[in-house]
Amino acid sequence: MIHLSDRMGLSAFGLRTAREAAPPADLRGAASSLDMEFLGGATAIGSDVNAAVRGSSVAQHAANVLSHVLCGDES
Amino acid sequence: MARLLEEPRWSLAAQCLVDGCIDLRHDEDRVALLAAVCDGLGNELYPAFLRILAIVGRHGDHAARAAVAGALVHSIRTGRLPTGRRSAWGASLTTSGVPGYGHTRTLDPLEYLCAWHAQAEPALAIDAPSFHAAARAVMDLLAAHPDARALYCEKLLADVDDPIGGALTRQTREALRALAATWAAGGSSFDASASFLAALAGRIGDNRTAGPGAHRQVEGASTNSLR
Repeated sequence: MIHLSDRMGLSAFGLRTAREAAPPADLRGAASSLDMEFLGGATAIGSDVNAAVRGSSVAQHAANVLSHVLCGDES
Repeated sequence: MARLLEEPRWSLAAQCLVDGCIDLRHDEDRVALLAAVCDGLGNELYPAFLRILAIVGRHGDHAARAAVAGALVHSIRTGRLPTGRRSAWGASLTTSGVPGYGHTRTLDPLEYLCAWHAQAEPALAIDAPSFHAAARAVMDLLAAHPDARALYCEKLLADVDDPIGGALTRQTREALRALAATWAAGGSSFDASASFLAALAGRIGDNRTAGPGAHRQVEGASTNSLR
């Protein structure tokens, strides 16, 4: 039975670590270089971008893990 | 091109998909996960993706099925349901052995299973018991989300009404219509799958399906031959 309480696999392969990974430095730099009057909006946009990057990265990592358990190193 | 291990860890792969759909915070990321899984496996191993869905549908508890079904629902709503490629009916390989331009069509999970079973070359087709088991499991997975059945049936019926697409033969489209109509009307996944088999057998009449006995033939089926 596949259920929620048995999260085998992903933690061992580092999903949690990937989730906590810092966003790329260039995105942080782009947000911080904007004029002060746009800082509020830029911060919000930067957060969205960072969250999207992080989510995409985690999704790709989880997909890689899945491919690995089916295809091994050939995936 | 990815190749399966001699002993793929199917249950662990299914658990990975469930965990990913639960751990990711946004529907967009869950859809990205489905796409990344299919991209990673490649078109040749799209059936492996279907097998994972079937395992979740057959063995997952409601929360697990709902998590994956939710991702599939968002992918349907945004037109990004993971698809596999199969040869268009009537298409033949080029001299290089590679399908030519326009010779392949993309099919969603249920369409793919239907086209796989109904394809003209019986030796390459998935047999009726395996089709039935896999189709039922995928439908049972989707049914864990309240909107999935209606959304998916709407998509299937729109697809079968599109003869220009060339993805499915007329007979297969009519059989798929029977499946979608039965399922949309509240029928069980068993009845919907059996409707497809019966409709296809009635029109084609070959030995791969059991005709009026389709219900009997599919009982006790497993997904072991879904590779």
